[in-house]
Amino acid sequence: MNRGIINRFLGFCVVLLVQVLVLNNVHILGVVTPLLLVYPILCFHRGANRISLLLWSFAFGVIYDMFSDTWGMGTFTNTLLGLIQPGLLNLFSPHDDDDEENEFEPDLYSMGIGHFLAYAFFGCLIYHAVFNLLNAFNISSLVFTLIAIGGGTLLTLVIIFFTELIIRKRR
Amino acid sequence: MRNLFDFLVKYCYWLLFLVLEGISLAMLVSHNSYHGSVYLTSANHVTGKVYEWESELTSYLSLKEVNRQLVSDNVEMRLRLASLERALDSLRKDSVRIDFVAPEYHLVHAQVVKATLHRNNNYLTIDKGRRDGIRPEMAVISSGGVVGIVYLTSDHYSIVIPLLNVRSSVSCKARNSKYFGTLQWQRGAVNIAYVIDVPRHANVHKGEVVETNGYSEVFPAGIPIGKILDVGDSPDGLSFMLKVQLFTDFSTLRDVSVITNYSREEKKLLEQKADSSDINH
Repeated sequence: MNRGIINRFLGFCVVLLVQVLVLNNVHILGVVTPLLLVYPILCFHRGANRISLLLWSFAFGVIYDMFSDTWGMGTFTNTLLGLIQPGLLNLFSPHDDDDEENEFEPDLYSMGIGHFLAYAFFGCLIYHAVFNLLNAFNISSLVFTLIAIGGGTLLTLVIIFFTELIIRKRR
Repeated sequence: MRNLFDFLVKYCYWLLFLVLEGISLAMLVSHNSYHGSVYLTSANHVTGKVYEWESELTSYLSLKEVNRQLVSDNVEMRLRLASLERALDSLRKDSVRIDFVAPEYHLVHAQVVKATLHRNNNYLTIDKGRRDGIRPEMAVISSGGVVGIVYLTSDHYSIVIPLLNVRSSVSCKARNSKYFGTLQWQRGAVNIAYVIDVPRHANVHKGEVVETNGYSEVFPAGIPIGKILDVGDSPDGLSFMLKVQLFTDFSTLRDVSVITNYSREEKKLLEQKADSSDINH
Protein backbone atom coordinates (compact mmCIF):
# COMPACT_ATOMS: atom_id res chain seq x y z
CA MET A 1 0.00 0.00 0.00
CA ASN A 2 2.72 2.39 1.05
CA ARG A 3 4.78 1.36 -1.92
CA GLY A 4 1.88 2.09 -4.20
CA ILE A 5 1.51 5.53 -2.69
CA ILE A 6 5.20 6.27 -3.04
CA ASN A 7 5.26 5.03 -6.62
CA ARG A 8 2.25 7.12 -7.44
CA PHE A 9 3.81 10.19 -5.85
CA LEU A 10 7.12 9.65 -7.62
CA GLY A 11 5.34 9.15 -10.91
CA PHE A 12 3.47 12.36 -10.34
CA CYS A 13 6.71 14.19 -9.50
CA VAL A 14 8.27 13.06 -12.77
CA VAL A 15 5.21 14.17 -14.74
CA LEU A 16 5.17 17.44 -12.83
CA LEU A 17 8.81 18.15 -13.66
CA VAL A 18 8.27 17.35 -17.33
CA GLN A 19 5.19 19.52 -17.38
CA VAL A 20 6.71 22.50 -15.57
CA LEU A 21 10.17 22.43 -17.07
CA VAL A 22 9.36 21.37 -20.61
CA LEU A 23 5.74 21.30 -21.63
CA ASN A 24 4.76 24.61 -20.04
CA ASN A 25 7.19 26.24 -22.45
CA VAL A 26 5.51 24.73 -25.48
CA HIS A 27 3.09 27.18 -27.12
CA ILE A 28 2.24 25.93 -30.58
CA LEU A 29 0.38 28.64 -32.55
CA GLY A 30 0.79 30.73 -29.42
CA VAL A 31 -1.97 28.94 -27.55
CA VAL A 32 -1.55 25.16 -27.70
CA THR A 33 0.12 23.74 -24.61
CA PRO A 34 -0.01 20.03 -23.76
CA LEU A 35 -1.11 19.17 -20.23
CA LEU A 36 0.42 15.88 -19.27
CA LEU A 37 -0.91 16.29 -15.74
CA VAL A 38 -3.95 14.34 -16.84
CA TYR A 39 -1.85 11.21 -17.18
CA PRO A 40 -1.32 10.25 -13.48
CA ILE A 41 -5.04 10.53 -12.87
CA LEU A 42 -5.94 8.44 -15.88
CA CYS A 43 -3.57 5.75 -14.59
CA PHE A 44 -5.57 5.13 -11.38
CA HIS A 45 -6.67 1.48 -11.30
CA ARG A 46 -10.27 0.46 -11.28
CA GLY A 47 -11.78 0.05 -7.84
CA ALA A 48 -9.52 2.66 -6.28
CA ASN A 49 -11.07 4.40 -3.31
CA ARG A 50 -12.98 7.31 -4.75
CA ILE A 51 -12.28 9.61 -1.85
CA SER A 52 -8.57 8.92 -2.03
CA LEU A 53 -8.73 9.46 -5.81
CA LEU A 54 -10.34 12.88 -5.25
CA LEU A 55 -7.77 13.84 -2.62
CA TRP A 56 -4.86 12.72 -4.79
CA SER A 57 -6.20 14.63 -7.75
CA PHE A 58 -6.71 17.71 -5.64
CA ALA A 59 -3.21 17.49 -4.19
CA PHE A 60 -1.67 17.03 -7.65
CA GLY A 61 -3.57 20.07 -8.83
CA VAL A 62 -2.46 22.27 -5.94
CA ILE A 63 1.20 21.33 -6.43
CA TYR A 64 0.98 21.90 -10.17
CA ASP A 65 -0.65 25.30 -9.64
CA MET A 66 2.06 26.29 -7.21
CA PHE A 67 4.75 25.64 -9.81
CA SER A 68 3.02 27.03 -12.84
CA ASP A 69 1.25 29.97 -11.23
CA THR A 70 -2.15 28.89 -12.48
CA TRP A 71 -3.85 29.06 -9.10
CA GLY A 72 -7.10 27.18 -8.98
CA MET A 73 -7.19 26.13 -12.62
CA GLY A 74 -5.18 22.93 -12.29
CA THR A 75 -6.76 22.13 -8.93
CA PHE A 76 -10.30 22.54 -10.21
CA THR A 77 -9.65 20.54 -13.36
CA ASN A 78 -7.76 17.76 -11.62
CA THR A 79 -10.47 17.35 -8.98
CA LEU A 80 -13.14 17.21 -11.67
CA LEU A 81 -11.20 14.57 -13.57
CA GLY A 82 -10.76 12.66 -10.30
CA LEU A 83 -14.54 12.58 -10.04
CA ILE A 84 -15.23 11.29 -13.54
CA GLN A 85 -12.21 9.03 -14.05
CA PRO A 86 -13.87 5.88 -12.62
CA GLY A 87 -16.88 6.34 -14.86
CA LEU A 88 -14.70 7.01 -17.87
CA LEU A 89 -12.63 3.92 -17.17
CA ASN A 90 -15.73 1.73 -16.84
CA LEU A 91 -16.92 3.05 -20.16
CA PHE A 92 -13.86 2.01 -22.15
CA SER A 93 -12.39 -0.95 -20.24
CA PRO A 94 -13.31 -4.63 -20.78
CA HIS A 95 -15.57 -6.32 -18.22
CA ASP A 96 -14.97 -10.00 -18.99
CA ASP A 97 -12.94 -10.99 -15.91
CA ASP A 98 -14.57 -10.18 -12.61
CA ASP A 99 -11.67 -11.28 -10.45
CA GLU A 100 -9.22 -9.05 -12.10
CA GLU A 101 -11.63 -6.18 -12.36
CA ASN A 102 -10.85 -4.67 -8.98
CA GLU A 103 -7.16 -4.38 -9.71
CA PHE A 104 -7.49 -3.53 -13.36
CA GLU A 105 -4.94 -0.92 -14.34
CA PRO A 106 -5.61 1.05 -17.48
CA ASP A 107 -2.74 0.95 -19.95
CA LEU A 108 -2.09 0.51 -23.62
CA TYR A 109 -1.75 -3.26 -23.45
CA SER A 110 -4.39 -4.18 -20.86
CA MET A 111 -7.08 -2.16 -22.62
CA GLY A 112 -5.94 -2.45 -26.19
CA ILE A 113 -4.73 0.47 -28.28
CA GLY A 114 -8.17 1.50 -29.48
CA HIS A 115 -9.86 1.47 -26.13
CA PHE A 116 -6.95 3.09 -24.39
CA LEU A 117 -6.66 5.88 -26.93
CA ALA A 118 -10.41 6.52 -26.73
CA TYR A 119 -10.24 6.55 -22.93
CA ALA A 120 -7.22 8.86 -22.93
CA PHE A 121 -8.72 11.05 -25.64
CA PHE A 122 -11.90 11.79 -23.68
CA GLY A 123 -9.92 12.28 -20.50
CA CYS A 124 -7.60 14.74 -22.26
CA LEU A 125 -10.46 16.48 -24.01
CA ILE A 126 -12.37 17.09 -20.78
CA TYR A 127 -9.22 18.15 -18.99
CA HIS A 128 -8.13 20.61 -21.68
CA ALA A 129 -11.62 21.96 -22.17
CA VAL A 130 -12.13 22.75 -18.51
CA PHE A 131 -8.60 24.04 -17.99
CA ASN A 132 -8.58 26.31 -21.04
CA LEU A 133 -12.07 27.64 -20.41
CA LEU A 134 -11.07 28.51 -16.86
CA ASN A 135 -7.90 30.07 -18.18
CA ALA A 136 -9.74 32.20 -20.72
CA PHE A 137 -12.68 32.91 -18.38
CA ASN A 138 -14.65 34.62 -21.13
CA ILE A 139 -16.11 33.69 -24.49
CA SER A 140 -14.80 36.60 -26.53
CA SER A 141 -11.68 34.64 -27.50
CA LEU A 142 -13.58 31.42 -28.08
CA VAL A 143 -11.74 30.53 -31.30
CA PHE A 144 -8.36 30.61 -29.57
CA THR A 145 -9.77 28.64 -26.69
CA LEU A 146 -11.11 25.99 -29.07
CA ILE A 147 -7.75 25.79 -30.84
CA ALA A 148 -6.04 25.42 -27.46
CA ILE A 149 -8.47 22.69 -26.43
CA GLY A 150 -8.25 20.73 -29.69
CA GLY A 151 -4.50 21.15 -30.19
CA GLY A 152 -3.66 20.48 -26.55
CA THR A 153 -5.82 17.35 -26.49
CA LEU A 154 -4.18 15.86 -29.56
CA LEU A 155 -0.68 16.80 -28.48
CA THR A 156 -1.16 15.38 -24.99
CA LEU A 157 -2.68 12.23 -26.46
CA VAL A 158 0.38 11.73 -28.65
CA ILE A 159 2.71 12.25 -25.68
CA ILE A 160 0.72 9.79 -23.54
CA PHE A 161 0.76 7.23 -26.35
CA PHE A 162 4.53 7.35 -26.73
CA THR A 163 5.03 7.43 -22.96
CA GLU A 164 2.89 4.30 -22.69
CA LEU A 165 4.86 2.64 -25.45
CA ILE A 166 8.15 3.37 -23.69
CA ILE A 167 7.08 2.58 -20.09
CA ARG A 168 5.10 -0.57 -20.75
CA LYS A 169 7.75 -1.94 -23.14
CA ARG A 170 10.36 -1.66 -20.42
CA ARG A 171 8.14 -3.56 -17.98
CA MET B 1 -29.38 13.07 13.85
CA ARG B 2 -28.86 9.51 12.71
CA ASN B 3 -30.48 10.32 9.39
CA LEU B 4 -28.16 13.27 8.99
CA PHE B 5 -25.19 11.06 9.76
CA ASP B 6 -26.37 8.46 7.24
CA PHE B 7 -26.87 11.17 4.67
CA LEU B 8 -23.35 12.50 5.21
CA VAL B 9 -21.83 9.02 4.99
CA LYS B 10 -23.79 8.23 1.84
CA TYR B 11 -22.94 11.43 0.04
CA CYS B 12 -19.58 12.29 1.60
CA TYR B 13 -17.90 11.59 -1.72
CA TRP B 14 -19.97 14.27 -3.43
CA LEU B 15 -19.66 16.61 -0.50
CA LEU B 16 -15.90 16.23 -0.57
CA PHE B 17 -15.91 16.91 -4.29
CA LEU B 18 -17.94 20.09 -3.82
CA VAL B 19 -15.71 21.26 -0.99
CA LEU B 20 -12.54 20.66 -3.02
CA GLU B 21 -13.98 22.42 -6.06
CA GLY B 22 -15.06 25.29 -3.85
CA ILE B 23 -11.54 25.61 -2.54
CA SER B 24 -10.25 25.53 -6.13
CA LEU B 25 -12.57 28.31 -7.20
CA ALA B 26 -11.65 30.37 -4.17
CA MET B 27 -8.01 29.96 -5.12
CA LEU B 28 -8.84 30.87 -8.71
CA VAL B 29 -10.51 34.18 -7.89
CA SER B 30 -8.23 35.15 -5.03
CA HIS B 31 -4.90 34.49 -6.75
CA ASN B 32 -5.68 35.52 -10.31
CA SER B 33 -6.38 39.21 -10.65
CA TYR B 34 -8.28 38.82 -13.90
CA HIS B 35 -10.53 36.06 -12.59
CA GLY B 36 -10.98 37.97 -9.36
CA SER B 37 -12.03 41.10 -11.18
CA VAL B 38 -14.47 39.16 -13.38
CA TYR B 39 -15.91 37.50 -10.28
CA LEU B 40 -16.20 40.80 -8.46
CA THR B 41 -17.78 42.46 -11.46
CA SER B 42 -20.34 39.68 -11.72
CA ALA B 43 -20.90 39.77 -8.01
CA ASN B 44 -21.37 43.52 -8.06
CA HIS B 45 -23.79 43.19 -10.94
CA VAL B 46 -25.83 40.65 -9.00
CA THR B 47 -25.81 42.55 -5.72
CA GLY B 48 -26.48 45.76 -7.61
CA LYS B 49 -29.54 44.20 -9.19
CA VAL B 50 -30.78 42.96 -5.84
CA TYR B 51 -30.34 46.39 -4.29
CA GLU B 52 -32.05 47.96 -7.28
CA TRP B 53 -35.07 45.69 -6.81
CA GLU B 54 -35.13 46.43 -3.12
CA SER B 55 -34.97 50.15 -3.81
CA GLU B 56 -37.80 49.95 -6.33
CA LEU B 57 -39.93 47.99 -3.90
CA THR B 58 -39.36 50.32 -0.96
CA SER B 59 -39.91 53.40 -3.09
CA TYR B 60 -43.17 51.87 -4.31
CA LEU B 61 -44.25 51.18 -0.75
CA SER B 62 -43.44 54.74 0.28
CA LEU B 63 -45.40 56.26 -2.61
CA LYS B 64 -48.30 57.01 -0.28
CA GLU B 65 -46.14 59.19 1.93
CA VAL B 66 -44.47 60.80 -1.10
CA ASN B 67 -47.87 61.53 -2.59
CA ARG B 68 -49.12 63.09 0.63
CA GLN B 69 -46.03 65.27 0.78
CA LEU B 70 -46.41 66.31 -2.85
CA VAL B 71 -50.04 67.23 -2.35
CA SER B 72 -49.31 69.33 0.73
CA ASP B 73 -46.42 71.05 -1.04
CA ASN B 74 -48.63 71.69 -4.03
CA VAL B 75 -51.34 73.25 -1.91
CA GLU B 76 -48.86 75.49 -0.16
CA MET B 77 -47.39 76.53 -3.51
CA ARG B 78 -50.80 77.38 -4.87
CA LEU B 79 -51.66 79.51 -1.89
CA ARG B 80 -48.33 81.22 -2.10
CA LEU B 81 -48.82 81.79 -5.81
CA ALA B 82 -52.29 83.23 -5.23
CA SER B 83 -51.04 85.66 -2.58
CA LEU B 84 -48.08 86.68 -4.72
CA GLU B 85 -50.35 87.29 -7.69
CA ARG B 86 -52.51 89.52 -5.55
CA ALA B 87 -49.43 91.34 -4.37
CA LEU B 88 -48.32 91.79 -7.96
CA ASP B 89 -51.74 93.10 -8.97
CA SER B 90 -51.76 95.62 -6.15
CA LEU B 91 -48.28 96.83 -7.07
CA ARG B 92 -49.25 97.24 -10.69
CA LYS B 93 -52.35 99.19 -9.86
CA ASP B 94 -50.77 101.52 -7.31
CA SER B 95 -48.42 104.19 -8.42
CA VAL B 96 -46.84 104.22 -5.00
CA ARG B 97 -45.06 101.07 -3.96
CA ILE B 98 -46.22 99.64 -0.70
CA ASP B 99 -44.62 96.95 1.35
CA PHE B 100 -46.61 93.83 0.99
CA VAL B 101 -46.37 90.92 3.31
CA ALA B 102 -47.87 87.78 1.83
CA PRO B 103 -50.05 86.06 4.36
CA GLU B 104 -48.78 82.75 5.67
CA TYR B 105 -51.59 80.27 5.81
CA HIS B 106 -51.48 77.50 8.30
CA LEU B 107 -52.51 74.22 6.75
CA VAL B 108 -53.64 70.99 8.33
CA HIS B 109 -53.18 68.10 5.94
CA ALA B 110 -55.81 65.41 6.09
CA GLN B 111 -57.05 62.42 4.19
CA VAL B 112 -60.54 61.76 2.97
CA VAL B 113 -61.78 58.63 4.71
CA LYS B 114 -65.30 58.60 3.34
CA ALA B 115 -67.01 60.37 0.50
CA THR B 116 -70.39 60.33 -1.17
CA LEU B 117 -70.72 61.57 -4.73
CA HIS B 118 -74.15 60.76 -6.06
CA ARG B 119 -76.55 62.32 -3.62
CA ASN B 120 -78.04 65.79 -3.47
CA ASN B 121 -76.10 66.57 -0.37
CA ASN B 122 -72.79 64.87 -0.71
CA TYR B 123 -70.26 65.15 2.04
CA LEU B 124 -66.71 64.11 2.80
CA THR B 125 -65.27 62.83 6.05
CA ILE B 126 -61.65 63.71 6.76
CA ASP B 127 -59.40 62.22 9.41
CA LYS B 128 -58.54 65.43 11.25
CA GLY B 129 -60.76 67.14 13.77
CA ARG B 130 -61.05 69.60 16.60
CA ARG B 131 -57.85 68.43 18.26
CA ASP B 132 -55.97 69.29 15.11
CA GLY B 133 -57.31 72.82 15.17
CA ILE B 134 -60.10 72.34 12.69
CA ARG B 135 -63.31 74.29 13.23
CA PRO B 136 -66.51 74.63 11.21
CA GLU B 137 -66.46 76.99 8.24
CA MET B 138 -62.81 76.50 7.49
CA ALA B 139 -61.72 76.16 3.87
CA VAL B 140 -60.75 72.75 2.52
CA ILE B 141 -58.59 72.67 -0.56
CA SER B 142 -56.57 70.14 -2.50
CA SER B 143 -53.75 70.37 -5.00
CA GLY B 144 -56.42 70.80 -7.68
CA GLY B 145 -58.16 73.68 -5.98
CA VAL B 146 -61.22 74.26 -3.82
CA VAL B 147 -62.76 71.16 -2.20
CA GLY B 148 -65.33 72.53 0.19
CA ILE B 149 -66.06 73.91 3.65
CA VAL B 150 -65.82 72.22 7.04
CA TYR B 151 -69.33 71.68 8.37
CA LEU B 152 -69.02 69.67 11.56
CA THR B 153 -66.08 68.61 13.66
CA SER B 154 -65.49 65.96 16.27
CA ASP B 155 -62.25 65.44 18.17
CA HIS B 156 -60.61 63.44 15.41
CA TYR B 157 -62.81 63.75 12.35
CA SER B 158 -64.54 66.46 10.40
CA ILE B 159 -67.35 66.50 7.89
CA VAL B 160 -66.82 68.67 4.87
CA ILE B 161 -69.49 70.03 2.56
CA PRO B 162 -67.84 69.72 -0.84
CA LEU B 163 -68.62 71.76 -3.90
CA LEU B 164 -70.72 68.75 -4.92
CA ASN B 165 -73.50 69.65 -2.55
CA VAL B 166 -76.60 71.56 -3.58
CA ARG B 167 -76.30 73.63 -0.41
CA SER B 168 -72.76 74.61 -1.26
CA SER B 169 -72.27 78.17 -2.40
CA VAL B 170 -68.89 79.74 -3.05
CA SER B 171 -68.26 83.27 -4.15
CA CYS B 172 -65.98 83.33 -7.16
CA LYS B 173 -64.93 85.17 -10.28
CA ALA B 174 -63.21 84.59 -13.57
CA ARG B 175 -59.51 85.24 -13.22
CA ASN B 176 -59.35 88.16 -15.62
CA SER B 177 -62.63 89.70 -14.68
CA LYS B 178 -63.66 91.77 -11.73
CA TYR B 179 -67.31 90.64 -11.80
CA PHE B 180 -68.14 87.86 -9.44
CA GLY B 181 -70.81 85.23 -9.12
CA THR B 182 -71.74 82.28 -6.98
CA LEU B 183 -70.65 78.74 -7.67
CA GLN B 184 -73.34 76.15 -7.17
CA TRP B 185 -73.66 72.52 -7.98
CA GLN B 186 -76.64 70.90 -9.60
CA ARG B 187 -77.13 67.18 -9.40
CA GLY B 188 -75.55 64.98 -12.00
CA ALA B 189 -72.00 65.19 -13.19
CA VAL B 190 -69.44 65.16 -10.39
CA ASN B 191 -67.03 67.42 -12.23
CA ILE B 192 -69.43 70.14 -13.42
CA ALA B 193 -70.77 73.11 -11.45
CA TYR B 194 -72.34 76.45 -12.43
CA VAL B 195 -71.53 80.04 -11.62
CA ILE B 196 -74.75 82.02 -11.39
CA ASP B 197 -75.53 85.72 -11.11
CA VAL B 198 -72.69 86.84 -13.34
CA PRO B 199 -73.71 90.22 -14.82
CA ARG B 200 -74.40 90.18 -18.55
CA HIS B 201 -71.85 92.90 -19.16
CA ALA B 202 -69.08 90.85 -17.53
CA ASN B 203 -66.45 90.02 -20.10
CA VAL B 204 -65.98 86.28 -19.54
CA HIS B 205 -64.84 83.71 -22.06
CA LYS B 206 -64.70 79.96 -22.47
CA GLY B 207 -61.53 78.42 -21.11
CA GLU B 208 -60.95 81.04 -18.45
CA VAL B 209 -60.09 79.93 -14.95
CA VAL B 210 -62.62 80.51 -12.20
CA GLU B 211 -61.17 81.21 -8.78
CA THR B 212 -62.25 82.37 -5.36
CA ASN B 213 -62.56 86.12 -5.06
CA GLY B 214 -61.81 86.56 -1.37
CA TYR B 215 -65.16 88.10 -0.54
CA SER B 216 -66.27 85.12 1.50
CA GLU B 217 -65.20 84.55 5.04
CA VAL B 218 -63.96 81.11 4.21
CA PHE B 219 -61.70 81.13 1.19
CA PRO B 220 -58.76 83.41 0.53
CA ALA B 221 -58.73 84.98 -2.92
CA GLY B 222 -57.15 83.31 -5.91
CA ILE B 223 -57.71 79.64 -5.19
CA PRO B 224 -58.60 77.96 -8.47
CA ILE B 225 -61.95 76.22 -8.78
CA GLY B 226 -62.31 75.21 -12.39
CA LYS B 227 -62.38 76.17 -16.03
CA ILE B 228 -65.27 77.76 -17.92
CA LEU B 229 -66.72 75.25 -20.36
CA ASP B 230 -69.62 77.32 -21.58
CA VAL B 231 -71.08 80.78 -21.13
CA GLY B 232 -74.87 80.67 -21.13
CA ASP B 233 -77.92 82.58 -19.95
CA SER B 234 -79.50 82.05 -16.58
CA PRO B 235 -83.09 80.73 -16.59
CA ASP B 236 -84.47 84.21 -15.94
CA GLY B 237 -82.32 85.69 -18.68
CA LEU B 238 -81.04 88.48 -16.49
CA SER B 239 -77.51 87.22 -16.00
CA PHE B 240 -74.95 84.78 -17.32
CA MET B 241 -74.65 81.27 -16.05
CA LEU B 242 -71.18 79.78 -16.50
CA LYS B 243 -70.72 76.06 -16.85
CA VAL B 244 -67.51 75.19 -15.03
CA GLN B 245 -65.44 72.06 -15.13
CA LEU B 246 -64.06 71.59 -11.63
CA PHE B 247 -60.31 71.11 -11.18
CA THR B 248 -60.76 68.89 -8.16
CA ASP B 249 -61.47 65.30 -9.11
CA PHE B 250 -63.76 64.25 -6.30
CA SER B 251 -63.94 60.64 -7.42
CA THR B 252 -60.23 60.13 -6.68
CA LEU B 253 -59.79 62.76 -4.00
CA ARG B 254 -57.73 61.55 -1.10
CA ASP B 255 -55.33 64.20 0.22
CA VAL B 256 -56.77 67.54 1.26
CA SER B 257 -55.65 70.50 3.35
CA VAL B 258 -57.62 72.67 5.72
CA ILE B 259 -56.73 76.34 6.08
CA THR B 260 -57.00 76.96 9.80
CA ASN B 261 -55.91 80.58 10.18
CA TYR B 262 -57.93 82.36 7.53
CA SER B 263 -60.41 83.94 9.83
CA ARG B 264 -61.95 87.32 9.39
CA GLU B 265 -63.72 87.65 12.66
CA GLU B 266 -63.59 91.41 12.48
CA LYS B 267 -65.20 91.43 9.04
CA LYS B 268 -67.76 88.91 10.11
CA LEU B 269 -68.71 90.91 13.19
CA LEU B 270 -69.00 94.08 11.17
CA GLU B 271 -71.26 92.39 8.62
CA GLN B 272 -73.41 90.89 11.36
CA LYS B 273 -73.72 94.35 12.92
CA ALA B 274 -74.73 95.77 9.56
CA ASP B 275 -77.34 93.04 9.08
CA SER B 276 -78.88 93.75 12.47
CA SER B 277 -78.83 97.53 12.04
CA ASP B 278 -81.21 99.67 10.10
CA ILE B 279 -79.15 99.73 6.92
CA ASN B 280 -81.20 96.91 5.40
CA HIS B 281 -84.53 98.26 6.47
